[in-house]
Amino acid sequence: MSETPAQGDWQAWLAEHGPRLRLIARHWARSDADADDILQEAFIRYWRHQRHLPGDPNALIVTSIRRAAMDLGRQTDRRGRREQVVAHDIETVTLFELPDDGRHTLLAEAVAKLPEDQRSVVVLHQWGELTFAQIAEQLDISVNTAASRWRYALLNLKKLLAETLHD
Amino acid sequence: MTDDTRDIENALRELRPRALSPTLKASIARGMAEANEAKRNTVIPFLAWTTPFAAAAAVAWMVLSPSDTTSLHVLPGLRLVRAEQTPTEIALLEPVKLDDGTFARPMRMRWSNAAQYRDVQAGAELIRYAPHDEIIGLVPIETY
Repeated sequence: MSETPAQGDWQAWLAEHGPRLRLIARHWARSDADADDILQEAFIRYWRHQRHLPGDPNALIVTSIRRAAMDLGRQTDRRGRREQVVAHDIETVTLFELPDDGRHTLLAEAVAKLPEDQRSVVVLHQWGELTFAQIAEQLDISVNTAASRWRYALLNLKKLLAETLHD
Repeated sequence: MTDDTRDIENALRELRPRALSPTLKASIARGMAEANEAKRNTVIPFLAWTTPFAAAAAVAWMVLSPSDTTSLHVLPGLRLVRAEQTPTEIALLEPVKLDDGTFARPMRMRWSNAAQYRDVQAGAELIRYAPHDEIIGLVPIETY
């Protein structure tokens, strides 16, 4: 997704990129319903106002998703003082179209077990299609930190898979 | 990445995010339709507000700018016989990113002056054409 999307057929664009963007929204959301709201808000804003802005369109919409998630999080925090807040649980397995083999299911479960900072980098790099420099900007960390979190995440996933297979 | 983690990277690539639910697609379609309707309802008031502003800016700009013809009046023998000014064209250009990270559309104003001078005694004519292309301001864009 390096080209600015063309005018008009937003449905086709959403069909192609929506699933991975929904995954990013889910990573920053507290529930599936919140993720849907975040993606809807961010997509409409991007398509209406930001699609023709200079820069990488992928980074623009990921930024839009992150900000929508932050806004919704702040609103939820305010409500949470009066009500019980929905637990921040990520059921990673349900986020993927898993092939009929146990290994991919285990891998999806292992992604969910990663520390938050590493999972963020995995989601943004693998499904957000962002470079380490763009991830560094999103998360306000250095490029080296983003790259090392990716490397540690891969090592952790390998370890988690090995442990699970031994069990 | 090292060979140690290459297999994990490859396996991650094979994890495909689920397609959007029909409910979410329908919700986004409704949101897009509402956004289109809202835009139609705001374009005319926006134009009504910006057009007089742009016209006033254009007039002020041209009044305050030095005239193209004055400098030649002092030349002996030359007499101004024709002066024309094209209608001013105002355009909002493609967005640009500013130093502070925000975005804005430059507002460009174009017009041209043409003046024709004649020296009757020498039988000579001089035509002076002066195109103008100025960026007269930046219109901020809401990015979120």
